[in-house]
Amino acid sequence: MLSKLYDFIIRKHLEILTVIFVGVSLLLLSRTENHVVLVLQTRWQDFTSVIKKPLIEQEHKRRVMEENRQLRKDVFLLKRELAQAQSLMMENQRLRDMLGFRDTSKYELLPALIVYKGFKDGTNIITLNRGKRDNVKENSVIVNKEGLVGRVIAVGNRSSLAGMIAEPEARLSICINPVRVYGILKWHHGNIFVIDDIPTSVDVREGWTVMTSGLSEIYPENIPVGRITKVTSSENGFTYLIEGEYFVPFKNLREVFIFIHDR
Amino acid sequence: MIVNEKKSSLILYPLLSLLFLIGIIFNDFIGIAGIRPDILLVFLFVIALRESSLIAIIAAFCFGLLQELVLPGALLYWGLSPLAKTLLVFTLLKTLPLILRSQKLVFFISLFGLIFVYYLFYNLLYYAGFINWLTVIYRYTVPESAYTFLILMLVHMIFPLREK
Repeated sequence: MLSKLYDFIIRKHLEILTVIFVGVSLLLLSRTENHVVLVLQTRWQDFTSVIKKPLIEQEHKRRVMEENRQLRKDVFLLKRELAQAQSLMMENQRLRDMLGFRDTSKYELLPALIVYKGFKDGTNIITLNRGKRDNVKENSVIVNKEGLVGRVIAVGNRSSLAGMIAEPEARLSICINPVRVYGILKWHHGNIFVIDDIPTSVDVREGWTVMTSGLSEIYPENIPVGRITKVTSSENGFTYLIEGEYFVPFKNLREVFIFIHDR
Repeated sequence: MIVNEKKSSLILYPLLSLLFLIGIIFNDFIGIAGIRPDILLVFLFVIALRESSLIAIIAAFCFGLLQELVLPGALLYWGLSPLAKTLLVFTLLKTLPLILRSQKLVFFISLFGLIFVYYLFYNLLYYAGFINWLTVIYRYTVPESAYTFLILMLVHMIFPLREK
């Protein structure tokens, strides 16, 4: 009997061991989170962590560097987005102001965008994205919400060229408010204009505004042009030398209106 | 011939032990996208193909226990690894005469198949209730099987597995 059992065990040792091991494994499975095993595993982890330390530190450094690189990239992207948002906000504000100006103007105004600023035949010119199709004509007056900008000098189908009043050759018939004195305005430098030949017999003061006179065939009257900043007498003492500043910031000009006709 | 085999074993087992030590100590660093090979499984294949069935089945159970003791995270199901490894080696030993008689390609496909079935069994139980079974297969089982099989092939290139 015993020898038969022994033979059976020898013959079937693989199956018997497998059944035993499977049984033990299943028993262990049913006793998951065994305390002794957890302690052993913790001690093993403590031991190996000493060996792994340099590699872990290296890995940590690599991750920090990668995170840093990603953060710098994010900061750059966010800065760019912020700049875009600020630019859009400013544009929005400008367009809102222009819209308000258009609604209160007595002229029919066509909004136009400056697509190019350049220099042609000794004249500063701007190219507008409006042309014959939009009813723009030669000598149509151009303004923005601050005041007079210039006039259209050539018209294409979809765009037009315009000259500004702030340039060496430009002359403008103006009227100083509130005294209603007429004179000729010339560009001087930057955003500064001069008016001469105004007799000292009239009272002219700094801070008074300069408007178009309406005597010109091109510009209607009472379009704001600028403000007087300095009043001095000429050498002969009979006339003033008047300096002023244009209302329109010509350097930063982006959107304008073209007069189509009176309302 | 016997002397040669003994010499080969003298190199093979220390080498596998070293590989195993590297595998468990630097387990986190040999992973590729979270996929780690089971070096003990490679070890078991070598033992099963070169040693007696008694040693192989005892090694399978002991290696399973060892793996759960030394590898972090394996204790979620204490006993799962010895169970899976015991069953794998039992299957391997039972099918070994057939596998060894087969052609080279079939032999390797069979080894890969066994590794795949082992991982399938282990991972399906290990991730049961956490991850969808299809995800378990393509995210863990297939890549882990491939990685382990690759290491087995590397060992085979140095110490051919069909010597038994």
